[in-house]
Amino acid sequence: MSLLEVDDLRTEFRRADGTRMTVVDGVSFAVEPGRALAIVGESGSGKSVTVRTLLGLLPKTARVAGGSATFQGKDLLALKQRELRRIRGRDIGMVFQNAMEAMNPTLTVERQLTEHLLWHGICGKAEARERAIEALAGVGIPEPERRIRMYPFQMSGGMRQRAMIAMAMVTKPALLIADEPTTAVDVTIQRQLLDLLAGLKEQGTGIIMITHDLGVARYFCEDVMVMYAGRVMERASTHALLDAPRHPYSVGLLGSSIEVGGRDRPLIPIPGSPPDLARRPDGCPFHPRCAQAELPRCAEPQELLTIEGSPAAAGDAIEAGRVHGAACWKAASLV
Amino acid sequence: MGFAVYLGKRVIRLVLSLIAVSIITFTLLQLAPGNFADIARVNSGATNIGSTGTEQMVTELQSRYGDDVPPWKQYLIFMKGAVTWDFGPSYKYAGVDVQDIIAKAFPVSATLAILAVILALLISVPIGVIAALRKDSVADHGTMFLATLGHALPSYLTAAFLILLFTATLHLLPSSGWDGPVNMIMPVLALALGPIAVLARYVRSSMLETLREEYVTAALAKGGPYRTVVVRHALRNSLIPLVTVVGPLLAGLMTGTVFVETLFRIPGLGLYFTNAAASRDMPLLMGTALFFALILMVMNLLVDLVYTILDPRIRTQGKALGGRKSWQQPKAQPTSA
Amino acid sequence: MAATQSSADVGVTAAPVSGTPAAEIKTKGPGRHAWDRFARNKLALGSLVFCVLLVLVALLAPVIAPFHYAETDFANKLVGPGVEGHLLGTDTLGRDNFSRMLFGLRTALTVAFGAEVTALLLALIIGLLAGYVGGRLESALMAGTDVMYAFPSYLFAVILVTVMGRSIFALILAIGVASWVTQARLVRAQVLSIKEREYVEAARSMGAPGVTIAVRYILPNAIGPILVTTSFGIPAAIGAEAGLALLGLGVDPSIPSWGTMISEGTRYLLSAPHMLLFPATMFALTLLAFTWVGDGLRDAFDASGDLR
Repeated sequence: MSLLEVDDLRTEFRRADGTRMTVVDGVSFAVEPGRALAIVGESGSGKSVTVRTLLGLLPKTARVAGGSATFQGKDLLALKQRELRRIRGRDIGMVFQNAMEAMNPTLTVERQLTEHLLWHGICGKAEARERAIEALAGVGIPEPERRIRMYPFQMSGGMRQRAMIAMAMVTKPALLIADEPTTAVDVTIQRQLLDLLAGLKEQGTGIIMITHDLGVARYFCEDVMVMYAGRVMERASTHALLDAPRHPYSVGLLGSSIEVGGRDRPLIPIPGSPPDLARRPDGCPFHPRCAQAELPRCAEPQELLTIEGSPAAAGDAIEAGRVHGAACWKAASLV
Repeated sequence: MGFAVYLGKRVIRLVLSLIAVSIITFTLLQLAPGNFADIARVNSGATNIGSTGTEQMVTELQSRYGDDVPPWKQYLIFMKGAVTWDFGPSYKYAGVDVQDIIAKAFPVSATLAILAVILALLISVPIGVIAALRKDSVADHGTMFLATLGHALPSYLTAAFLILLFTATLHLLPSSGWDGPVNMIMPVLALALGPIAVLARYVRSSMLETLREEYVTAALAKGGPYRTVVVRHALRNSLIPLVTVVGPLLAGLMTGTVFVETLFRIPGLGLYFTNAAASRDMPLLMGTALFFALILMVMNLLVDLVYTILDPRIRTQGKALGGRKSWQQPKAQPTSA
Repeated sequence: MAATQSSADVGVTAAPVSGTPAAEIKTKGPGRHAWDRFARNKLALGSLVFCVLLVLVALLAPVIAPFHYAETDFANKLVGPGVEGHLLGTDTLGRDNFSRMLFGLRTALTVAFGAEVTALLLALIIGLLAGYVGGRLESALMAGTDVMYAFPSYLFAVILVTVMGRSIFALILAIGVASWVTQARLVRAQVLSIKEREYVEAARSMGAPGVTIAVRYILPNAIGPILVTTSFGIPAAIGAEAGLALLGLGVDPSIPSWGTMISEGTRYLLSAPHMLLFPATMFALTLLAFTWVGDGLRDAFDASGDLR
């Protein structure tokens, strides 16, 4: 059984002028223990909002408009705040992009690594401290007993990022969500962090990694999902998608990005820009920019279709290579 | 090490500023008509000291401010005394030294100011926090509107309305005198309203800013109860910058209680200062002006120091994060409000 | 049309739909733009109307007032409102309160506007010089403002009045000189930022003399924030004038001032509360009106003000 199964998630925001904006528009995916799913897309594609919806971390102007998210047998979207809070930080951990911002500058590392252990009643203060030191050691920070008394700004960038991972892992969550954890660090540290996370995978933790860096996705994640304007454009195992993308958007994305270790070729940006989410194009959100677009079919609601042309369900993503879904009716013919 | 240097520099700046203030004040007052003899004559009806006392006093005043003493010498004598807490005798209050007047009257003003600030904090912090948490709600708009009211009206005007309500209408509180705590209620309230307005706005915006920080979301993501996260993470951090506002506010209040003192006839330093101005009591004016300026500057310095203690970033690195940027937060000014 | 963030918590941004026709560009000068924003604020607009009314009343006080402010009537001391044609009653010398209030308004506004204009002129000159000329002059001037800044402002006003005596002129000067400092700094900051902009460079490269550049280019663009501080300065100056009068250091005692009316009013509080009530209320309304105008101006010029 999947660790997390999200089905047709929909999130809306209400803007200052009262209009409604659909930021996540029918997203489905699944995460397995010990595997990492990359959610890839441009800014504004809805990747962050998707995961924050799962954790109930949305601002007051947002609301869940539909769908379900089954985690350990419970639908996260149907839970009351109190129950959701019990899962947050304990069974699902989150790591952010910038440790300097995600950690309180006026509290010691120890405080920040232990407070949720106490909140969830997992253990007492003394034991929490031990666990925190262990967690720091576990992420490769030397002299953890000394470091634990420091403030975040006293650590180097890489160390801080690791401490943030330790902060999420100290409660030994089954699922870890990482929102662009490598974007703010340089490449060497990036590699170290990813290796660290790989170790967690080995211990059975499921990971959702949000990133716009395809190189990171290729290096670290078994599965990948491409989002655009709040919808899933394509979903497959990483090497399948990156080697043979089928949705025109994914093709464009790969054509316009630099991959670590990628081939030398000219970068071709995708013309145009993402749509105003309050006035979405009908059907496929990408079709106004798509070179392959054909009206009126592209303006009709699209589904994720497999190579054979049949719809791909969330759970089928597990079977790497066998199910590769793309939300484009033309995808099959483009291959 | 870096900290001691910083402190040293600030103290030097303080001293230089004080000297500048004293020179300006002294020069200006030199332009005022009348010397001590004229004034003593005018005020002579108010004194009744024995002849020896008067003799001594006259000699003393003569040696300091007599016509034969050139202005620069007067200044130096005065400043030399100032450094040793001896401002010399007052023109008006015969036989009394200025520093004694200050020593007696300042605690009165200070009490009013401190009580006002405490009251202001007790009221404005909860208001500001609630306004921030319920941003854009009726409570938010309502309290901020009331805040503008409090800010726009000077303290003596608020005092006037308070008197109208509590003395004239309800007959609950006395409108003058300084006999006991009951005399403090209205003056403190009047003094506090302005600061409440300023602080409530400040707390609100500081809180809003802090709530947007990623570490608040992160704390919630760890499963923190909303209330705990708000207090321990957001409130704590948003109150730290408050210090930079409270300090100058307090100093401004301490030196700005004059209007309220006049209205309620409270014997504070502000009252004495104004009377000194009315009766051209030069030494008292100089002494009080210097004292006020000193208080203001010391408060500014203290504020910066407290800020460095509260913000661990500065404490451990020993260098100020630029402290207050003068265009952002108000420096201490005696509030006419 | 670009969609703006509905929440800063979540970094959701949406860029314009590709291919939308460019919106019609209506040319509106920044002044007109600001005025429109101002006009939308009902409170500010209403307050502005009220302020204009106040100014008119103040100007016409000698004509409108039923009695002369110094006209005594010992037979009718401390009477209540409505008695013997005295709309708001009389004071201890039988002087008509209503007339005194009108003249008090006149005093307040005269001093306040005078002081603000003085402060503005001082600030403009010094700020422009400091910002535009720069160098040693700038450092000297800024050091000067630092000292002034450290000097408690009302202290300064009191001392000045002590020295110069109690005349309207002295009062205007005292209040004006005490408050120009923040404005000067603001002017300088504005000058510094505008100085670097391209259109100034362009003008300079075409050989325009310094003064012209300062006046024709820099000044109009810096005017916004300066206007705002000036408009907030007016209620502050009104408060200062009344405050000084309250302390017995205001204008000559024969000229009515709201400050003296308030201090007198507290003295006769129990027997004649109306003596305090009416001036206090009038005073409060005046201050609020000017303050709300200032608020409105500030919001009108503040392009990014929507994050409150």
